[in-house]
Amino acid sequence: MMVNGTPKLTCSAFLRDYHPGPIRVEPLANFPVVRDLAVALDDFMEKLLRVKPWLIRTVEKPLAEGEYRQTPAQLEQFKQFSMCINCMLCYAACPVYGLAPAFVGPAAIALAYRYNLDSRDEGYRLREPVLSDAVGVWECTFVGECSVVCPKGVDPAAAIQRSKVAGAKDWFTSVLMPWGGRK
Amino acid sequence: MSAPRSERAGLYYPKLPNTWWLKNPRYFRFMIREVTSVFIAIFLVVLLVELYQLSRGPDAYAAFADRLRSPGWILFHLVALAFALYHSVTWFNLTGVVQVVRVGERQVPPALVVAGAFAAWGAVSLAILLLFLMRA
Repeated sequence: MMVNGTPKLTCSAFLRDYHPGPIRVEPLANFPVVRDLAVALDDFMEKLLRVKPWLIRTVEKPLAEGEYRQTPAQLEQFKQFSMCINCMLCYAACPVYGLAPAFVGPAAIALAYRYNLDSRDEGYRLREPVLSDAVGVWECTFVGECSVVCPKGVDPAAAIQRSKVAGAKDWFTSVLMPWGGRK
Repeated sequence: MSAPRSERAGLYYPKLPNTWWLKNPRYFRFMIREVTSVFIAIFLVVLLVELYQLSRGPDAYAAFADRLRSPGWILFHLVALAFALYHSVTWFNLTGVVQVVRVGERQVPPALVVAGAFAAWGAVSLAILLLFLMRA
């Protein structure tokens, strides 16, 4: 919800922090309102699904071979981005999403980036068309407010800018290198 | 910007007011940074015209340089310089967020990446200044 105009997790907002001033509670900004404080989540759910935020393997390992192992250093690479709780405060803080609702948005891109960084994942090529789309990372103008309001310390703005760098590198490799840089 | 979404019946779609960037100091600073690009673009056009006049000979260049000495143009260049500095400083401050530098398995602290970017900027600026002073 919006508390005094700021996106806020109201389950962790305390009246003592606002006392004695007035408190204005509004439905989460940038989302269509169903009624009162309830907003429609369909748009976010659809976008979340579009970036395939799960582990993708080209060939699944048989169960008998055990789990996919990971070192602490490999975990550290993406851990921050896996702390997202899908609260959508970043969407409410994002003026780009408010002006251009087709934008895939901060949380979905941060989660796509989280799986792209995961050493167990092989789904980069499947997520790349969604991220490199005109309504993907390139719609972002780096206002940076998404990272400011995140209650879990995730930095979606960083995930988006780093995805831009990765996407640009990919494009240059495909244009400049023989056989599109593929081995 | 992309096409508007299809709106579902029965839902209320709030519109972002045109003054959204006045509601939060961070939004305001973002908009100022966007505006700096306009001044830098105008400065670059002036620079291109200056180069064109230079190619036309010393007289044409002297006449153009004389016109740039008017108070209006001096004021514009001062504003453009201030905006260029603001744009550059905010740009370098963001390098720590965007560029992840790793040495082996360890990540270089973002503050160090930013400091490196500023140091490189300072070194290049100094080199250009020295080149300019040596020619003068």
